[in-house]
Amino acid sequence: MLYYIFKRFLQLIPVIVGITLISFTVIHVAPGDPVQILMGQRYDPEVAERIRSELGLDKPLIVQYVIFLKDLVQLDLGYSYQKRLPVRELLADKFGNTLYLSASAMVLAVLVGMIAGILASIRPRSFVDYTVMFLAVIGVSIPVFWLGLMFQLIFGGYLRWLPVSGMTEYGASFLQNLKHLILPSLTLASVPMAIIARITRSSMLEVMSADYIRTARAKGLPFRLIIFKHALKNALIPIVTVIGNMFALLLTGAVLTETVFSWPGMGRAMVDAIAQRDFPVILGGVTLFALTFVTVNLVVDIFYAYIDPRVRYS
Amino acid sequence: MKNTWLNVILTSVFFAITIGCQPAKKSKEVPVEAEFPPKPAVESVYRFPLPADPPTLDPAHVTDTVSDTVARRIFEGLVKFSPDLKIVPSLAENWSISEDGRIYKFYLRKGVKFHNGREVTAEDFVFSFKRVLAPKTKSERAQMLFPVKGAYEFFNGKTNEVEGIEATDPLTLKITLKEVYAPFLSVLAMVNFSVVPKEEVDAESTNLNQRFVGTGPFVFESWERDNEIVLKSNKSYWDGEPPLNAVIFRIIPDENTRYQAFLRGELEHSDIPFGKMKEISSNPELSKLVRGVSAMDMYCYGFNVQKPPFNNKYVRLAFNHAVDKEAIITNILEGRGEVQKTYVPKGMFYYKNESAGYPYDPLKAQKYLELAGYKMGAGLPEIVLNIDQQQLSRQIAQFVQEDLRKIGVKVRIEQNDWSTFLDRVYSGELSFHQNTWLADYPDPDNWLFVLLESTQAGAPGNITRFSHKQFDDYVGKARRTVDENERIRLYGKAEDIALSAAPWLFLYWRKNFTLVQPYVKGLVITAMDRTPQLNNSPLAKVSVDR
Repeated sequence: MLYYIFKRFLQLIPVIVGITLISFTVIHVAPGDPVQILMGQRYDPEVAERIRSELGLDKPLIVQYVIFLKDLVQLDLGYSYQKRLPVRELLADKFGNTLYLSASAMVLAVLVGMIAGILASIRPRSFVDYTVMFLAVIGVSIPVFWLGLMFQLIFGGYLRWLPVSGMTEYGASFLQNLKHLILPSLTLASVPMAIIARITRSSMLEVMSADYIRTARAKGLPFRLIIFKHALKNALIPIVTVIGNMFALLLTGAVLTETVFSWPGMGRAMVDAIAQRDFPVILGGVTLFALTFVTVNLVVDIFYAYIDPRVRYS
Repeated sequence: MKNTWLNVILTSVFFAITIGCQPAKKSKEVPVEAEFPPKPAVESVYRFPLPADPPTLDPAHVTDTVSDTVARRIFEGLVKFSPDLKIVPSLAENWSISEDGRIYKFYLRKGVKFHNGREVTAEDFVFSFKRVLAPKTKSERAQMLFPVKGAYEFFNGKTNEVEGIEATDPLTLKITLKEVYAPFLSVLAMVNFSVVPKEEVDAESTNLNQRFVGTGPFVFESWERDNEIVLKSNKSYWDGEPPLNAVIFRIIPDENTRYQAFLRGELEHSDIPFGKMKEISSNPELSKLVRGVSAMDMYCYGFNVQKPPFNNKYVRLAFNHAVDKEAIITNILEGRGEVQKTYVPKGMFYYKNESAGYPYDPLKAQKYLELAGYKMGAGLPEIVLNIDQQQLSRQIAQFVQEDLRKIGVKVRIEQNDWSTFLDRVYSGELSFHQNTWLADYPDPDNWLFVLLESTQAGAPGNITRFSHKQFDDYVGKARRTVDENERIRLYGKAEDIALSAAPWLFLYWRKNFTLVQPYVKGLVITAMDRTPQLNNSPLAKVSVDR
């Protein structure tokens, strides 16, 4: 197993080089100049040249890329042009905030989604099944930003139960700050919750028609035991795959939720960095995203081995 | 059994991640009772919305209104703008200008202290101005000090001192200019030329080390990127301790979220999202809270006068008369604008009151088009109008497109992200494009010289590449003239030339509507503000009485 993990991490090297090379090429080929953005609408060519040279942007592209790779090996992602902070420090903060939000959303999505999926699969084509599947279709179809605005209007505006923006409040207690988490994580959970419910239902339905379930039923085992011990365990593989992928997606793609709820996360940081042509932040973010995807996939693969004894890595 | 174990593990892992990922809290915990509207945990606090996280708070690098908003509350310079945008003393108690208009002597207030407790001296200003000019600082506004004698040479590394900046005694600063530069005092009121203490600046990088120590009414406390910035009141402020205990800048990018937060009582002011004006005006309580201020903030289109067909002034005049600006303001902007009739906005010492601009007159527009040789648009190629990515820009562009279609002009709209847009405009690639400008300082020089003088062509400001010898002479001379009446005369002449040449398609001056809570006292919104950042509104005398 350790050798397998080591091998998987070695595969990271070509992935990172490939992804950063593509990103580096794209951001430099695309129109837009970071120095122009820095200077705003009071541009002076001489001052701009000075800034360009200080930032190393006057060097040939290949030299700039090699410098980036050399620094990356030393875990140095450079300085943000805009924020004038080390990119590592900047992204660590943002990634932590996004992880906090995504993990909460995933807990919610997994708990509610799996329970709903199981309930729907127990009595297919029943009222419960139709209701769950109807809500699941709604959950997948509703645009996240619209749902976020509706939550703000209902829970923040009309009912006035929950705050509508920000992650923390100066001088507020931990519990008060926790209130800030509820609406964004509910919004962010809507899509994965619906997908998990659908996958759980279909995976459970498939397992429930298997011979060993019929045998278990014939043996007279209690229904709860059949569902949780025999059926769910075998239905988990596709569910875990989806959970893994969804979690990686949430970590990298929560930009709409983060914008609507003013959540200081990675998605917003990346969109801002792209708009401002903040090359070190873009490259640092892309590297972090690649690392996240590879790691989450690896964790999912390792999990398979625990869930399904037939899966072995050597 | 194994199943139960697995379920427990799965659930625990997720809960552990959720709780474990809670970022370290940077604020003190003060329990607050639940109530509505929610009171802030710290009393007498002003919760101030910002549409974005400021890129910097270092005055040497401020180029945007959001950074300006926060930095202006921490840092101060020699002079400042009053709410009616006159130059008034700040850290300089008074000043004198030599008869030839080249030598400025600033007499500093005694006993003004930095937030770190040290007294401010004239040497601190010498250091701060040199820092802006130093190559290592990479200040985006270094060029604004080039009119100072020896500044350009220092910037280029040819000298170690700036000849024209000198501390003649601990409280007197002498600045000598290369030649008369009339807007110099206005330039000094920009936040970029605030005083910073040498001991808080990193000698190697010349950065402010994220400590942001100034002399302003508020002291930097904390900055949680993309979430909030906290400033505490400066108890030993030279102009008296501010009534507010703290200002909390809350970063809320979405306008609807800001509005909702205001309605919930979580903000002391807010802008008004598009589409909400009707709802607000029909609500007697809310409509009382609206404050509208016309701003020195322009939204118009520019023609690249070097490129056909816009090298023909009749085409430019035709476009100007073809667009119904009133209708744009009423139908799209919900009244948030005033028809643009001049090149220089209202509120400065010079304004061409009598100008009618280019009134909406499709028949006149057709006549001009005919004079240009394009009767009812015949022979005119498809015109590409380039704008930024905002929804509002698109709506305005569609309106203009429709008006121009009525006189036979076919327009295609292209949207660009801001960086691409700037790149394309500065390179001179575009021939018809959005043209926006918010005053850096309230002086006609900031409009007529920067935006239309021929040496400023391209990226420095004159993006329409307008070039007119006589115009250049007038605005150049006005820059080198001390006498205000003479400057008014020169600008009047220059603006007449611009009005007849029509290098811009006039649209509107923004009118900012801001919702302010009824318990906020002393907040003055100025014509150099954008809402919701209110970058120029002083907060030192504002109080909240909930």
